[in-house]
Amino acid sequence: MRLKIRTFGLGNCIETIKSGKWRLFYFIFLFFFEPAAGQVNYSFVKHLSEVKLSKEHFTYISQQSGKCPEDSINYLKAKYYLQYVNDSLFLHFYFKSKSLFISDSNAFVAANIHFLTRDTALQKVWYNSVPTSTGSKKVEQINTCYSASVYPTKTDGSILPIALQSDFARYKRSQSKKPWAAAALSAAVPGLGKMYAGRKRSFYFTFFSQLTYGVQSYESIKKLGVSHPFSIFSLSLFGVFYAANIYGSYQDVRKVKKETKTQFLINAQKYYHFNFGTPLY
Amino acid sequence: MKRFLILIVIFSYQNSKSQTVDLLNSPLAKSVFLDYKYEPPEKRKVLSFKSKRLIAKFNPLNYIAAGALFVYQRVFSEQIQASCIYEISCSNYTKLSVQEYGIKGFLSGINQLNCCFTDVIYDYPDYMISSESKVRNYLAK
Repeated sequence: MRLKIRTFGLGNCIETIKSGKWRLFYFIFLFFFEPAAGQVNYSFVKHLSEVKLSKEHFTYISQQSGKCPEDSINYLKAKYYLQYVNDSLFLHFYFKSKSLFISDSNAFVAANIHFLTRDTALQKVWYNSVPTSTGSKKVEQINTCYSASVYPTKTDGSILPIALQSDFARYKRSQSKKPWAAAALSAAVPGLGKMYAGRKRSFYFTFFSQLTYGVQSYESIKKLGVSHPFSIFSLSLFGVFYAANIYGSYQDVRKVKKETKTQFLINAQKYYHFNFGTPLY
Repeated sequence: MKRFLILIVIFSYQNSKSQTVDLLNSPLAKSVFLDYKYEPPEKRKVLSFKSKRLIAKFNPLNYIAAGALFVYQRVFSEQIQASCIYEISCSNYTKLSVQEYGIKGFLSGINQLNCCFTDVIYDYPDYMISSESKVRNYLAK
């Protein structure tokens, strides 16, 4: 990597010198004329990144902007914003130094893992920008996982790693559920829509509480009559809870769809970070 | 008498010195115990209908609901030491959602109240559970 940045600084003529028997002279030249070459001290940037001196890191990169080739500076800025989680600025500098960034496999894999759980609009921009043939199996696996999250019904879960298959199956199952069906089920049997959405415990509690309200209303109507204030109060309470339950079940299905997707992507990020995660520098 | 006065002067000097030492220590103490600093909870605001339509502003039911929530939060909630399983408590959630979505918000608030029990955390995925074992709820349309 160090060599790559240096060549950007010195131009094409060095390409010919550094290969073959002139290689030794090339390194002697670099040793004496290092400041003149205008290059980034990569090990220093690595150190600043490791100790998380974000302000110093940024200042150092910014100071190099006039002295070094723009491509290298944009590449380092992209890595800086990737480390300090500023997605929009990361993408801005990534597009300016795309070829250099993709050649750094560590950073490219890290960015792919990072964008699994990011804001959907920027996530889309990132994964659309990833070239189809990167030559990296890691990147391909991560991209497959992302496309599975976008098109769950079209994806076969077996192509994913075994650790993620159960999460994906849950996500896929939730996508086929209909909110109106949950509302209809809750109208028939209070709380059944929650069971349909995948919230068993909510179903038990809702069902028994609704049953209690219902029985109480029935008893008060039977003993005191419909026009009695207590009957009106208990009946209206039951009505409010009944209506809220129907609306809540409708909402729950929509929420569960989002929750299962987010959970799947979070688990995928953890999995890939554990298996493919390498230091950024 | 003179000795007594001298003693008073000495003690007051020492006292003032000790206070200055405390003053010097306070920034250090602040930085060291920053993580353990107690921050009182935010004061709960009253349900407002300022940004709502004219019908909502003059609807007596809205004011009855706002009053009931106010009395519950200021009087009953503190007295019964009510603790909710959700990060935004049921009463607060109802208030916020009514402010945001009107009648739909009221229904979703009641729905949360209906599912407010400890075991409900098992119905939610891991990322929705906070470090204090509370469900991270958010306002939904």
